[in-house]
Amino acid sequence: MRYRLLALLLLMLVLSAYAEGPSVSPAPPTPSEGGGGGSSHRQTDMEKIIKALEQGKKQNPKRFEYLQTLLWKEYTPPGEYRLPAVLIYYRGNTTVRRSDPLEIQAYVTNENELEIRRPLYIDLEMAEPGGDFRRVNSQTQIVQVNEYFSTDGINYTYRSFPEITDLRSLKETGRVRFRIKYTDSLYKMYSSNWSVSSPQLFPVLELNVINNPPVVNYTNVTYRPRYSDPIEYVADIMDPDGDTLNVTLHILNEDNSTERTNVTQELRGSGTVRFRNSEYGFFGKEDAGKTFHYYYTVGDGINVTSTNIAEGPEIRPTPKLLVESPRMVAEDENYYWWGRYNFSIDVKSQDENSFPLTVYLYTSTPSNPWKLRGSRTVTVTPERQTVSFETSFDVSDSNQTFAYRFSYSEPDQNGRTSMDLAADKPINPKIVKYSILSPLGIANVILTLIIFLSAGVIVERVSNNRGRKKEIKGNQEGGR
Amino acid sequence: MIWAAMLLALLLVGLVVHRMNFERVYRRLSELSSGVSRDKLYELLSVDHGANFSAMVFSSWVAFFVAFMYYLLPPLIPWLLRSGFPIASNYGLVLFAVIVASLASFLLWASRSFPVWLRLSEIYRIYPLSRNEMSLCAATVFVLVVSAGLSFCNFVNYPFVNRTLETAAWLLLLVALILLFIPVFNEFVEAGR
Repeated sequence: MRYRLLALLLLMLVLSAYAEGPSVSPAPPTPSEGGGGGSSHRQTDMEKIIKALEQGKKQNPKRFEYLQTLLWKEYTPPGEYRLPAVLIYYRGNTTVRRSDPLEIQAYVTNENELEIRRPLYIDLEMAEPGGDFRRVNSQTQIVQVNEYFSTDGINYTYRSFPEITDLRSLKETGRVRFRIKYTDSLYKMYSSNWSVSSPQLFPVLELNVINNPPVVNYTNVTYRPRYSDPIEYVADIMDPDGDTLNVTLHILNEDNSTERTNVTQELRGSGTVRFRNSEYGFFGKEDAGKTFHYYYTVGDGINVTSTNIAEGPEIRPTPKLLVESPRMVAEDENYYWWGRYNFSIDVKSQDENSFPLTVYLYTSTPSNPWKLRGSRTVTVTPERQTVSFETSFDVSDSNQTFAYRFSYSEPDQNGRTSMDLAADKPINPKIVKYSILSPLGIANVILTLIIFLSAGVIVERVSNNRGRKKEIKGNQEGGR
Repeated sequence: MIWAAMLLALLLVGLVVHRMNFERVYRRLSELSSGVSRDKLYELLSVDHGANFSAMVFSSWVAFFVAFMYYLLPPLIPWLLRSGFPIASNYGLVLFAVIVASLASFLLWASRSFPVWLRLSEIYRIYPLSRNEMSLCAATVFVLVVSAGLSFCNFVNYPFVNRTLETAAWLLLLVALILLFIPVFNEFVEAGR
């Protein structure tokens, strides 16, 4: 403060000369002012200087500021003030992966006595491979004058940078340097200004940063689908660094060398990516019968991992199947559940090619929904042929409506692979196949009668034996 | 179900009357001589009516339970179908009859260990029976066969239940039960005089 006051006085003197000007002589003292003597004269000068400063500040503020700058004198600490030292404290390996946890601290020593210490403002700077240093902490760490520990005459303390936990954000691997920039409001300093030889203290910390490339663990694709089937490429991908990954599926043409298409999905860290034909439209009708290959590339922003070329899918050729006349003929028009039902369908090839075809029959009632009743495999030729099934229902289906479905392994002329139809009337509610006067009915009645009589005889025999035993026992006891 | 309950109530009435008959004899005997147990009295009163009669009466009782279950069959069919019992197969009803007859036979056999008035299989042993009564009791099995046959008709036509056949089957069951308890009721009436 003393220096600032001196500077201010000097300023006032200069300005007083400037305010008065060479042509302006001082006004004679008025009678009323005369009593002051020399003191009064200094007071008048002071008033003039103040007035001149006020005028100068108002009329030419820029020059006024410039004058202030010229006359400003920095505060210089007492001669015994020593610069505090700040170094990087780091205990880990100097070769690190981007995902490795990182803990960098500032180690501060200050030899000054408490009375002359100054607060320190500390920032951490990092230089990426081939780059310049830039500040990486969001909040400046402050060391107040009384925040030091003292051991063996050394005043020291630590400051952490909690924002720096790892180096995932690096977009390039290689040599990464750290240093500390700090100031005591008088001097700007760097940790690199110091030289120390300690295994855990570094003026400049140099880390060799390596990257973990993403791993594509498993890939597969729908096996031998039709072009209209839900074809899906699935890949399980894992990145140890937890990076945001760009997973690209490359589908090659039949020649296995040129790329047909590629699509990319973004994945964070690890997970499963699915590329569906229904979503991206990889394949169309014209691809039937072709075999494709594919591979993945996975990039984490630094490395790109490429998988081997795999085969898939082998899209099945689509034969020209014509399906006609689905029908159901019941053995009995009353639709008894035990009756035989004939389900049939006509198939033929629409061109000269023959191909295997599997036809499945399903029936559905509320009790037995969509139950598979059988399958037939036939070779479809240009000649019309009938695929038929014989089946009957279950007693639990009685008195229920029913539907039936022909399902076939190749798409038909409409691109469908199944055909659903409903019966015109429900299954008869009667549950017993025979009538009372049928041989079976009469046999049931006679057998029932035999059961009555047999049961009676058996019970009588068992009871009688027991009674006899009791009688013999009584006689024996009476004989004694 | 109320008709079925009425049959069971009649069965219970028969057993209660049978007990009253026995207790009356027991009370009179107790007045003359104390220290005679009911079991001993039952043994003393027991009369063997012959194996043929016993067999026919047992058959009648088994037939009663089977015919009764046949009568109850229509409302039971959905449950039987759901449980997987092959009631609708060719001999499903015979299988059903075998199961019911086995249970009824076991019940008759096991009832010999019950209190004297609940011994259904030995109910006639304490009553002197005339030839007519014996014939009626023994013939009950044929009445029950007819009742079972009528219920069988309804079963064959299920789910269409003929109410006339159902009523006839019930009436025959009722008649059969009354016939089975005729000696008991006769004794009760005779004692009342």
